[in-house]
Amino acid sequence: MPFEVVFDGAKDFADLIATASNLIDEAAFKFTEEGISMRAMDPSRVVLIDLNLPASIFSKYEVEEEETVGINMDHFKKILKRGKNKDTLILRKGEENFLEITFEGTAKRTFKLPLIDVEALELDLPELPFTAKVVLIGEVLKEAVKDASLVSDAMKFIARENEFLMRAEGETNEVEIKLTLEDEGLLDLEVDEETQSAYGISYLADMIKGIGKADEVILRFGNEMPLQMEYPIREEGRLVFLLAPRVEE
Amino acid sequence: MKLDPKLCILCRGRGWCGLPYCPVLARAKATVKLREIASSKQVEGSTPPAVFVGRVGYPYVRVAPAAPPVVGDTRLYDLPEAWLRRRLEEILEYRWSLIMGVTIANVKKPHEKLLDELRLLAMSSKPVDVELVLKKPPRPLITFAEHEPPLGPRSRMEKIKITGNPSIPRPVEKVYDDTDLPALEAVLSLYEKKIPVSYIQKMFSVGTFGIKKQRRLVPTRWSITAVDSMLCRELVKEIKNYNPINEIMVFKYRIHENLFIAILHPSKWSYEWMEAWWPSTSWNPGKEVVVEGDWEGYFGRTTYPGIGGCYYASMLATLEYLRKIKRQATTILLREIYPGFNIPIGVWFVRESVRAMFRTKPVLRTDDIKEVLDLLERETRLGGEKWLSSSVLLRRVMFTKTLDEFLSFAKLGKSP
Repeated sequence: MPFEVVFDGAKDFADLIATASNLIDEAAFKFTEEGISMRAMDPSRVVLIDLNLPASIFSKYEVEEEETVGINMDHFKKILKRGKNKDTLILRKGEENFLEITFEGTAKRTFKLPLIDVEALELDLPELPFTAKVVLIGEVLKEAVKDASLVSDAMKFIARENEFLMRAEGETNEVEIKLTLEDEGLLDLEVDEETQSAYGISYLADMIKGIGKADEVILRFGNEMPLQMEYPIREEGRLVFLLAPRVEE
Repeated sequence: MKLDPKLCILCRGRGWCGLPYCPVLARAKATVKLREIASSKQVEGSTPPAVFVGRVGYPYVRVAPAAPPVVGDTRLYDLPEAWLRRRLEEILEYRWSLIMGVTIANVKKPHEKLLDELRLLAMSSKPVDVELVLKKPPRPLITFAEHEPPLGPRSRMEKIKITGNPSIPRPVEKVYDDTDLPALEAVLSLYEKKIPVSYIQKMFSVGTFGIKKQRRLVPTRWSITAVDSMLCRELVKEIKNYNPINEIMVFKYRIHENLFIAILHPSKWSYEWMEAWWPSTSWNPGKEVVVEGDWEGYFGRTTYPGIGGCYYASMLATLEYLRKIKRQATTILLREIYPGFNIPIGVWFVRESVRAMFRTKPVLRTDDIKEVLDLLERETRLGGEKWLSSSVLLRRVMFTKTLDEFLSFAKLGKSP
């Protein structure tokens, strides 16, 4: 069924897809009246991506009937990279099995991307019994992951009543990033009980690529439980990652 | 003399330590007896064929056809695919008796008359009789390099006379004549026609493939890894279409003071290559075992692996196996190099050893990764713990849970 949606700021959209494409090679995007959603798991089944873009963040949103399109993320990413910051992005599908991607700026440039068969991941985001919720500034998390990647391939998140720690230990080096509510970088901290869990840095690095420095990032996790990372897209949309823990020792 | 063994392992004779010569190489040289070389300026022989392209002075490089002073079937003198089960001394004997006639060429001008002739030699699938006329009797200088097979005595070349007939296979001629065919496609098509990788690499280095204006000479050392990595990139695409294997499989292979182990894990494609060099081995002049390695995830890598060409040579052999069984896997390859293996004989050794390993039956099939650690503890000198701490992917497979258990857990939690 045909649809047409318009998004102002082609580059933001490209960043979003680029982030997801680090983790998955193909995805099923579901276009409904309410908005666009996509849920997929990475090949190693360690990360789940859940993308939600409500109709309200688009400047034009016309979807008559529900429709799911399968997309090769690498091709999609490469095309979207051609968009400029000021370009308006139009995603359109007619009766044919193509997604038309148009950049409107100084000229009107249209790509046609053939759609592929992708099995949609039929599962809801699980409601896990998390015991800690941390809200921090995107930049803090991005820098912390870079710090930790110098010394190890895993980092531990530790949430206590009044502090949040990120820690990595290598064979010889160690790094610790400590935040309390007095720090500008930590916006909120809710802890039911002291919570510790470790995660692979290479996955974290892929997940944080698209976060804006000023974005608010919400982390939820439990003892040896997955990490749920959530950040807003144009306020009403959101990108959620669920990352399985590392259980060393 | 103080040397950082970590530096040597990554450098392998490229001169990073700043010394005017490589101590690692020099020691190996000294320990090997030089072969007597006839003090003649004229060498008659059959080239296997062999043509070497140096990298020093790029883009003005040394190009050298080589032939032993033997007429007849000299194919074995330059055919790494057939060397694995031979004694190291025998391989060195082949190499060092290849007398090289050196000339200098601009890599961007591969169409000078002499280079055209050398290309004909490289394209031949059978030895070709030649007569090398040298400026001086060849100096018995012997070089070692991890990437290139060891080289023999050499001298500046006055001229070369091709007295035999190069025999050029049809598919080779076809890709050479097609000046619109990109080099990548030429390499792939020859590989699919079962042309040995070492032969493709040889032709690649003398500018046989590619779009006409882009053809150029490529130093032998670079061309080996260029061809390996091109083939890898292509094979990875193919095996990603296959299902993961069903259980953990471990392979093992011992040869010439080297131990190779492959761990194939039933998950999607990723790859890790690690080497543990014992003190007094070719690239480790230090006193401690040094472990170096590199890895890539499902989506590959964008940087050159620090460990060098062995990374792609071993990956190619791995991908060939996965393609044969039509499966994908997370593959962790490790190699231990013990004292005694102190002559660097080239990247081909890794490729052929890993190929040979995958021709054997797996030594372990299991669902339990702990059994793999037990096996490493038993079979390796480094031990399971140390290998585990050195390996990014092994730790990932051991310690990273998948989401599956949490997804089912959540569903159970919700139902009454």
